[in-house]
Amino acid sequence: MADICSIRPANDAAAIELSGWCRAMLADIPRNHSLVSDLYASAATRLAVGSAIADVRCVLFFGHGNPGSLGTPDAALIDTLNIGNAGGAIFIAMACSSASALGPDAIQQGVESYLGFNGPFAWILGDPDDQFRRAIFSGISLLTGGGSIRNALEAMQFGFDGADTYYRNAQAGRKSNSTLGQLTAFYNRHHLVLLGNQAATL
Amino acid sequence: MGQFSFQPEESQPPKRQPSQSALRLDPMKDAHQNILEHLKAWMANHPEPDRPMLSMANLGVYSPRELCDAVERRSETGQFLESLILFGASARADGLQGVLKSFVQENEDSAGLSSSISTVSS
Repeated sequence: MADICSIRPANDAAAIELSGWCRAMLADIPRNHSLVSDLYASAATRLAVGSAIADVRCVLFFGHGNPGSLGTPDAALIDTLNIGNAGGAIFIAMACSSASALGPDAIQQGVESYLGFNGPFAWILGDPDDQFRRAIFSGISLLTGGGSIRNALEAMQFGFDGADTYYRNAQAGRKSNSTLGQLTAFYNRHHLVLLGNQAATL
Repeated sequence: MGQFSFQPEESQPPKRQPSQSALRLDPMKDAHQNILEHLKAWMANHPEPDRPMLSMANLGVYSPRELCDAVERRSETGQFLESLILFGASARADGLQGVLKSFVQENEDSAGLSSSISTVSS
């Protein structure tokens, strides 16, 4: 089974930003892992995605999400009809809400582990303090470096805790937008969940 | 979502004008109205109220003014922002009042700076 497939539709400002985070992470994947496909922007069609997630060890999705699907509500790229293609894979969805319905469905259909948010995923636009991207990056780096998906979850939670603290302290210094930064970090921290096999590794 | 309570504060003379309405919750108003009022004060003091600042992975990007409008209209984004505030408030010792207070106060310095720059330039 090949290693990693990334999907980053980049279909609006928020998704473009997430796509950039993903691209930066892909550049840091250790050489003992291979990137099989990187479906970016218009290349991320439902057909291409359904095919790409088959027979890979890890799927990285960075874009919009809903409880039952990934992609936009009117153009789902992954839902109950094709999530089973990723059977046996570790699925990481950096998107809103998909761990609440699609995640359990994925595990039911044979996906080994599903890491994602069971509520909206939000951050300060542009991540000017590099708090949110760093939290996500730390988890994926641990996984590609040989850790388990549980280690990845904990690293991301630790990262969001750090962002929470950073913005809480910034509030004391009256830094603009720090309250939203603290609230979103705290919310993300508590809505990031891991389903399925906690010990899975790449 | 999280629990919160309205805790009337002892009345204190306001130190600075922008935060006068931000220092306490109005027990006669519900959470939505309190949140909206404080967010409006935050937006009014914000140095860049029309610049997009919050990204959500299913709702797009929003400026402070758009966030206030969304809360006022109780759109999906507005409801999410309210839940974000209430969720955060449930974990803080000072509750909703503390969250809303920090929203408004965080811009006081920049608002003061802006006004002093205006004064100098005029």
